[in-house]
Amino acid sequence: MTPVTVIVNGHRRTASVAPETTLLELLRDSFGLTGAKLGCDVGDCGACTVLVDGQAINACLMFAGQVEGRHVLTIEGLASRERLHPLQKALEDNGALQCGFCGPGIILSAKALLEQNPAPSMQDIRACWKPVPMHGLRQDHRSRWGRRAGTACRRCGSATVVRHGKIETWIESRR
Amino acid sequence: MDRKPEVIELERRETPGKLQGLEDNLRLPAVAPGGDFPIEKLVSEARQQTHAVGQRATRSDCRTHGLGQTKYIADLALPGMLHAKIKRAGIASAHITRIDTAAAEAMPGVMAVLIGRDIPVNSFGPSIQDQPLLAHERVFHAGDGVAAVAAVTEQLAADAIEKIAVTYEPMPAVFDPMAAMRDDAPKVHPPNSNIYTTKRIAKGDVAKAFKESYLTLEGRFCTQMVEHASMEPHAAIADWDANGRLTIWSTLGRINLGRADIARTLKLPLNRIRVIGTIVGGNFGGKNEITQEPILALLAKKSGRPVRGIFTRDEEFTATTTRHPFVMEYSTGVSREGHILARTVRLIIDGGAYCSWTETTLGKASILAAGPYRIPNLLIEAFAVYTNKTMTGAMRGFGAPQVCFAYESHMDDIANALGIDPLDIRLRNAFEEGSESPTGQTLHSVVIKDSLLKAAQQFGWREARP
Repeated sequence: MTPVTVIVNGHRRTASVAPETTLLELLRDSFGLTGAKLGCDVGDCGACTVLVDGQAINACLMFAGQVEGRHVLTIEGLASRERLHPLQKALEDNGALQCGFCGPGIILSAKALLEQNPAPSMQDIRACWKPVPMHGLRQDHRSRWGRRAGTACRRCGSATVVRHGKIETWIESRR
Repeated sequence: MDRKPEVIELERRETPGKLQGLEDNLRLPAVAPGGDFPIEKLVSEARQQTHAVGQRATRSDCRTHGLGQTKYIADLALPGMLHAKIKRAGIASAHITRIDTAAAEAMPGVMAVLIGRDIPVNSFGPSIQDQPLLAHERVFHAGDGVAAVAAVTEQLAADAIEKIAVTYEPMPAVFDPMAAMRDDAPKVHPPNSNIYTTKRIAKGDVAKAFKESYLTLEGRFCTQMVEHASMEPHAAIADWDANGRLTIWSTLGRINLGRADIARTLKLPLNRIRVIGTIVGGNFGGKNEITQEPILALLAKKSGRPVRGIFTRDEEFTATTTRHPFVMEYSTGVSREGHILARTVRLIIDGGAYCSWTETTLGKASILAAGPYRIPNLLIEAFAVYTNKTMTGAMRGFGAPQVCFAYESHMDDIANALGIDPLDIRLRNAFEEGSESPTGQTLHSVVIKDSLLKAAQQFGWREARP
């Protein structure tokens, strides 16, 4: 067992984990943050998306040891006691999450997109939410753990999610 | 411990290097905060004690989904809970000659091992009870479970199923539904025929009408197997109490049907079983039946601890139901003006290794196979066939999408052959008010033609065509 220290949602936390533990397992099992989901375990679906130093990554493909000392943001760290994050509010107001399993990944993918590109085109938004072909993703992760790949939604909500992903909504949600 | 605001602020701002040694108490293993969120919520007027019609409704669960606070099965844990894994056969058709579980049972941390023989009633299914929970003596498709393990961690359970040695005697297998229908094909469930359910709908005199037809067109259409691929895999937790009552948290969509199946397989009175349907991360028909619930219950009984099982993505594809692949042979006789005089349809439905919801699918597909058209002379014959493949079951539409693909493609072919606009041929044949369906039902409130014309007008069908 190895100690890992992470700054998760702004709080420094330490856990003792086996070396093969993934970031997703660290978050879910050691820290009790179950917002990131295990959907496919191979980096295809993006249900496990979290932000590491602001970059959206698949937590199922990253080892816990790789986030030593880095900032991790999970879905639990977005809202405050006073208000929802504007993205959470926008999706709630539009009833865009149906089964919700992809929701945390969708929201965090969108957040990372907006931080890199404050005025994304419809195409950018679609690319952020659509899984890229597997080989592209794998290569991506081999070369640089940080680059994101997209979050999949299997439900009818996905159309709603994209429809309400109008640029105006996004720019507005930045405030 | 009350945390100092300035320390929290430092943590937010500073790099980890600078924080080292700042306050040693912070290095204690600690549970991260579960996430903050507002407790108050504005409820839309439609959800208050007012008239709902005309009000904008909201999805009440959207907020918890968006906050990551929704608890799916994988997010639930009971004290002392074990993790289950099922060993899959990996061979399509075989006799199991020996299962050796000794090495797995001897592993530290393995609390229970289960094989098919241990299950009180090892069969289930919504219409034909032909599906075993764990294969006993005979394997019918590669995704069949042959043994299950409950261990203190998921990794340990996965290691333990690797230690279970199964000896197979391979048997002949059949994978193509057309081949499976032949008399000399290997029988999937001997001594029963591979054709396990059929349907026939006949109306008028097809042979005579074909003779009178201006043109007869034939078409053969095939569709493939489709997996629901819900974002959330099948998952369940089983827990017994000291009164011998069983509680199951499950992703089951039909909890009462599931409860009856669980009672039957465990030989327990229905009232000793409580099934709690949790929020499901996608169903699409794929979670209509029990999968591992009785296995988990028996592992929990053996080990005396709650047991949770979550399918891997691989298992989702190999060991859960899928959409039926269809082979559809159409033959249609038409007049020179494009009126359908006669149609024969032969449907061969690949049911995979088990019946599951095939009877429902076959029935619905047969009734809809002729399409929404007035056809005076009709013959539909449908056959459901066993093959040594992943079982097929309920999926959105129950056979309707497959036949729709076939009859609409066929209609386009007919329109092409006669040189008639595809919209016009549909308008000439579509159901009208009072039309009779293939099964003799008189139809009311029929608006197909209005819908077609409206749609054609909206997207400019006439203008776009040369």
